[in-house]
Amino acid sequence: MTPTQLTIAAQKGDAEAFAALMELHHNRLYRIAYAYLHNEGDALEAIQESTFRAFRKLKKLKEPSYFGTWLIRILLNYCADERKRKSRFSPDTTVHEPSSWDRPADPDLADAVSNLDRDCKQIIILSYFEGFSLTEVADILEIPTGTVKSRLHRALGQLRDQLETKGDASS
Amino acid sequence: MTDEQKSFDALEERLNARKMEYETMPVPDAASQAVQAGIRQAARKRKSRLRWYMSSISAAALILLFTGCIRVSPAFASFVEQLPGMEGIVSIIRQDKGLMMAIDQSLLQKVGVTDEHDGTSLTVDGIITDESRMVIFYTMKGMKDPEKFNYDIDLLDENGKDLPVAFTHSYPTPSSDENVNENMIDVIFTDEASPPEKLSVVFKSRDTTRAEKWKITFLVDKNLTKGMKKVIPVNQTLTVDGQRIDVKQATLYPTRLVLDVNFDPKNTKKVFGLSDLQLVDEQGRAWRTDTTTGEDERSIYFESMYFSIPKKLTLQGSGFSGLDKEDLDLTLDLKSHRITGGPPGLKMLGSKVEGKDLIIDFSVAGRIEGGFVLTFRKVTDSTGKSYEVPGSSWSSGDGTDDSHTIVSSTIKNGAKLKGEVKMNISTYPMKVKSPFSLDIPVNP
Repeated sequence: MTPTQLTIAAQKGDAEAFAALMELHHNRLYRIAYAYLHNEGDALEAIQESTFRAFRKLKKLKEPSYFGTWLIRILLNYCADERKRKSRFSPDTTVHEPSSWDRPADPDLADAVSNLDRDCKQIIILSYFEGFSLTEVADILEIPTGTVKSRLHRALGQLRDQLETKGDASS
Repeated sequence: MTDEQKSFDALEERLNARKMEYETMPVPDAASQAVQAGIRQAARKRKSRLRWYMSSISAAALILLFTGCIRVSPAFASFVEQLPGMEGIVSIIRQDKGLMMAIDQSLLQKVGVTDEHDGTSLTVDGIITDESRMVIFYTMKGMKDPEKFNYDIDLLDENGKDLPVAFTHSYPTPSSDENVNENMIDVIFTDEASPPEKLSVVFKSRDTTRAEKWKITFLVDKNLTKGMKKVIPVNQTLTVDGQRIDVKQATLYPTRLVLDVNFDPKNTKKVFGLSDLQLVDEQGRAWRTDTTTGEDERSIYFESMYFSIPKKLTLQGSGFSGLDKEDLDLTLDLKSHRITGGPPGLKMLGSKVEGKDLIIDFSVAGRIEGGFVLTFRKVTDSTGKSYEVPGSSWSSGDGTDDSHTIVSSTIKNGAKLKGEVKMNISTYPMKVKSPFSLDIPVNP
């Protein structure tokens, strides 16, 4: 079955189809959540909660081929709320083999990205890291393309300002 | 090229380098498990409203598990969809092939009565019933806050008395038309109760400012399934991990099969439930269960194979959820968080007061899989006063740690509790793996 067919089956109540669909998307969800929330526990929590919300709201999705962007929207909404009311238990228990994401070759840039405000960080993750087009980002965030462009511009400006304070942006 | 342009180009290059690191970010296996947990959570929530009128059945013993999906044959789907007002039923009952076969056998009684006022209408579309179960299909239009389902349901007999039954009611299935909710009420009749001649279904709004009420009364045709019950004696004992389980009999009704079992009171472990339980026939078809009632004397409800009686039927399971009986009681010091007794690996993390209630957070060893959460039967303070613990919520993973689950238990009216309390565990996520199987003599 194609993802769209899976979505239609899942909308009719087929939980296996929904599980198969989530299987296609969970890697991307994890990366976005991790880039946004900075730790594994919160990212996993975000995946579980987004899966839960997606499953319950699935029938409200009007256009099955938009499942992917719709799912990312659910995740980002969750992440945004979650940042506001930081969870009661701060998980810091596991130590992983650090990945190159956690040990960046360019730590100044990595820091600058993680210090961006919410809107700007979303834009950078979606446009640069996930490689979505302006139109796709506009769909995910439900904002006009013009707004995507201006936020992108603002995000790059913020990054440049942060890096310039460190005195190495133009090097 | 301007300086500004140059600096942006340099920035883009650095971002692209970071993209490489992003793309190679390892995704832990737990991500997949988080998806599964989310699906289970959603599936469980759907069936989470239940109400008990009979004191002889403990609500804590009603166990709802997520069973997989069964696909409906297109012929069946189109058959049901031809009945006006019945379109939604197919998607609601697709997890219960016994119920679908019963409908296929024309056991569905059409009702089609509506009560409408204040912009909301309630219609009972139809029912299907036998001596053991009644499923009421309804449609509600214009429901307020469907996500919350702010309604209480009453089922009344011909004299206006509450039926002495237990029923489960799912959260409304989100439908494409947001104002229309098609759903069902699943009623369990035990030995003491049977369907009334005349039934009233009442929905009461919980909105205290506007106490609205919808009431639908209709006649129940009990003759449709009269005398269809079949009893299959089993009388065999299973020994699973040293615990004796007597399987007494199976009773087959059009809408379900009820298996009566008895956990030996002399067992060293308290069995909360049997794991991955199913009945498998000679064709490899699995008949699943999602509900049980009772404690040590227990009835387990399976999908019905009434209209497709197998040649051979085998009860299979992978073990059970249970705990040593001596680990069921514990003493908790709310101040120091110290636990005396109880299962190993149980820790108190903290507590907070919410209104009149006290919420205690526990960390439990192991992952919650297959439906058992940490729940308490009762809590007693130092003066002997007892409190109810009606709710527990859980989130999997103590942060990133897979080996723990955080459970929050709400002690009703416990806001002022201090010092030591005694707690009695009702269920706990401890599993014993010990596969078993037993032949059920369907054709003696």
